[in-house]
Amino acid sequence: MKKYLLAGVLLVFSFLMNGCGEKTFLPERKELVDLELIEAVGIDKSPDNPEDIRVTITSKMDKQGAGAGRMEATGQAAQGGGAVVVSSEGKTVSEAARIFQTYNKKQVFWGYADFFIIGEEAAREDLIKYLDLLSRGQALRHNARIFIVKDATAEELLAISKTGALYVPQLLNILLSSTGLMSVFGRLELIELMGRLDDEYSDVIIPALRIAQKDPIGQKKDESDEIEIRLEGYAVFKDAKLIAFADKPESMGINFITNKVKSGVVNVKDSTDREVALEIIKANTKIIPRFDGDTVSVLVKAAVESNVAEMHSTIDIFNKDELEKLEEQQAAAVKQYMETAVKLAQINNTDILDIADRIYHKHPVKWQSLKGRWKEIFPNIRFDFEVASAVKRTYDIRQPNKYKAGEGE
Amino acid sequence: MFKWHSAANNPSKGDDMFFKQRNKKNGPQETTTCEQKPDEKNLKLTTEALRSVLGENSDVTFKEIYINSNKDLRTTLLYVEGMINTKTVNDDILKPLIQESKLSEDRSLKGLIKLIEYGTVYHAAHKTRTAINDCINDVINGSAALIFDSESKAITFDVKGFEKRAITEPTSENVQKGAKDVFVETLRVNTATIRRRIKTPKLRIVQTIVGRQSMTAVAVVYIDGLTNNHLVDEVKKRLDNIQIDELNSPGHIEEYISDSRTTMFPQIAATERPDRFCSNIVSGMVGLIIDGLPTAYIVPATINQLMQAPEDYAHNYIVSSFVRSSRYFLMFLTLFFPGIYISVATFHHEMIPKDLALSIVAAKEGVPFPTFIEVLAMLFAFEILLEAGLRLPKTIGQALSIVGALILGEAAVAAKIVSPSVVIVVAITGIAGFTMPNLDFSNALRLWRLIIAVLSCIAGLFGLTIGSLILLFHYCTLESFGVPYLSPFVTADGKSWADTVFRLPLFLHKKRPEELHVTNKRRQK
Repeated sequence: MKKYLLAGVLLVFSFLMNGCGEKTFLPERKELVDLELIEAVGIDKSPDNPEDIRVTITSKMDKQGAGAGRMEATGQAAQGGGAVVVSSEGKTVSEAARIFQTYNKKQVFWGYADFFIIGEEAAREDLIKYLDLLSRGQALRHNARIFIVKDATAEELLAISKTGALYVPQLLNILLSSTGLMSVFGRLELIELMGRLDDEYSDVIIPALRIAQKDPIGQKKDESDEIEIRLEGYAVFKDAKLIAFADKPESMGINFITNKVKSGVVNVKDSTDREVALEIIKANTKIIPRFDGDTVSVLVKAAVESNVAEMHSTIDIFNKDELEKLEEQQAAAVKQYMETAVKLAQINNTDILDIADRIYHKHPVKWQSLKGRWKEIFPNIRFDFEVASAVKRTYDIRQPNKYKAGEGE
Repeated sequence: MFKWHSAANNPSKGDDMFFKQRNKKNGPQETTTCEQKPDEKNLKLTTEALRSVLGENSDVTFKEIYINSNKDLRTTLLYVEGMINTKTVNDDILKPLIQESKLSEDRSLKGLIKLIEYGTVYHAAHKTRTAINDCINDVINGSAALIFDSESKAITFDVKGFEKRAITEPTSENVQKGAKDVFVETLRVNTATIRRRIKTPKLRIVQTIVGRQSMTAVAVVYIDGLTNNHLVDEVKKRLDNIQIDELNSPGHIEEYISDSRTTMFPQIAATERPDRFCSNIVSGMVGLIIDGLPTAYIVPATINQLMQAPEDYAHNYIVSSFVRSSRYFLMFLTLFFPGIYISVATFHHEMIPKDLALSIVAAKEGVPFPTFIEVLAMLFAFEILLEAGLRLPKTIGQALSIVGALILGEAAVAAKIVSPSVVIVVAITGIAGFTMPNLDFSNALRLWRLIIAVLSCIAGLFGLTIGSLILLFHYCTLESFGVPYLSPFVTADGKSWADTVFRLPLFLHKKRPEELHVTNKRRQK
């Protein structure tokens, strides 16, 4: 009988301690419909009051336009757009986040926020200050992606959703899924960033976004005032403060050195001086720290394999001589990418390439003597590059159209 | 009064530690099976006496006969109309009695009875009765009795000839492949069906009578020298302890011989398929066949056994393993799906993938009720449909499913009374429940599903976890005839796991289930 009594007591307990009251250890019951399922959070410095923080949230507007009342409250009108973009300000991020509740019709639910976007100004000031709640808050996802907005605030970027043409979180998802194609970009999760920020010797890079006018190429002029979001390489940080942005070649170099290249296109020229596009199919980089007495130098050993994706001449390039030429050019291009990346890092004295980490893992004992002086050593380290370049194959068609044997050789 | 009608040579000392003590309240029972007048036992077996007991019945016939037309050799033929085959009585009993001249050679009744007993009246199944009650029982069970007043003896001939249902195809345990016969309401037909499948002379079919008024025959089926003797004794003991008026519905036997009365889960397995019944008997279980019920019972029942469908052994073992394991998955699905849905939709929203959440929100928009009310209401509506479907005549059943399920469901969704996602959840839950091979088991799951859904309403996954722990606890406390309900999952050695969640190839089923403690453990070399 005891067991049934126990089961009964458990049941009664659970009924008494139901989730309706304020003071209960049980989770509170909330209907999914009553929640504002925000998908992106933007964090900026307040434009009016530099001490304050402005938080912007974006969520998809529900069908019935239930967000109308909310729009009035914030004085912003959604013009047929499919998204709700609301901002609030406070001394801290958490204060600003709570303030939403004072005028938002629905309860803000942070669990689906997949993107944390930080404005450039805020990033230049101090990343830690803006990031702490995001990493500490138990309702937030640690696998959310972090972005920095170049030349704009996060609010401006998220506000693009309001026009209805683009829904920023959805667009970011699509853009991220194709980062591998060019390898000039990367993805960074909050948890990864938190780990990297704790690393005393390395610095962080965060993928950057830019609001751009729609590319006028191929567009009529009156259409070109539409805006779009572009992936814009990396934002480079030093001591958790934004100091520079890496452009395309630099970002590609960073990706090569940190072994993040999945694919990409390298344009080279064949013997008739016409373009050949090489599509990277495999890239692998090793960083080998070398010691000459106390002086440390780094050998970057990259292996790149590619396919011929496109060629503009009508000659046969699939012979040893031609291919060797292509390979040399490819090696040179990759080397140049990496050099620019190293240059960027060394000029700013930010170890964004994880060199310290490599040295620590390969030579833990020697690292002990180095680590104290790392900030002084790093800008002057000599980097050597070795690129093993190979052009592997092409696809079903070897010779271009109009190809005549013997021509051009 | 009714002894076991077989020379079962089992040690009758049951290992009491092996079985839970039950029926404490009932205590030792008196053995009278029908309410009799005090003097009835002592009545002499005569026509007069029988007439005083049965004479008022309009379907009982007494017919005086002169054997070989000899007035001195009188006997009375007694039978119940409708229970006997009249042609057999005419041809095989009356005809020899009247025509066989040898019968009148011996002028005494004593000699005559001997002649009849030794075959002058040519009928295979006859018994000589000296006690009046035995004689009455035989007659009521479809025998014709020849009563010899002066000798106080009766010879009863088994000439049953009542109407019985033909062996048709199974209705609830259908198979595509495999035997298609089924148990019927007649005990003798069923025992014959079993004999045809298990021809070993060691097969024991021993009978007892249960029910003071109905006096229903119940047969215990097992294999001597294979089945655990303690199990057989326990079954017999529990049958003896049943003191009820009638045994006309499955509950009359299930509730009285089950170990625990506080559980919804079946502790004996009912089946209508002789092939399944027999294979369980051969595995070392004990079977029960009840006259008048087209289902047979197998004891002990375990979850593993209740989850087996007869077709599992008809198909390729890989296919069967897939089907069997998905059946286990569906058991969990039907139990927990509404609970999980309520939990994640009202407490743990972050567990739903974002896009799914958005579509759930879109569907839920405008529905006035909270999710848990929607789910509970739909679960209840599903119960209504089930019950209505059972009650309705088959011909209207179709209309119910169309009006009830299709039109009503569609209208409820269109009118925004329930959200489509809840309809989907409840429909999947219900359909998953139908895959359970055992009806009683799936009924129990239905109720537990409701309990778990309510707990989930209160505390989300926390409540769901409490619910499932209580259920697990409950499972662990259950025993069926000394066998843990969760066996063989609760055994650590894993010896009997070849036929559980996966059905391994038959050549690996070398031994009979460990938990049955059978006398002969090995079933194949």
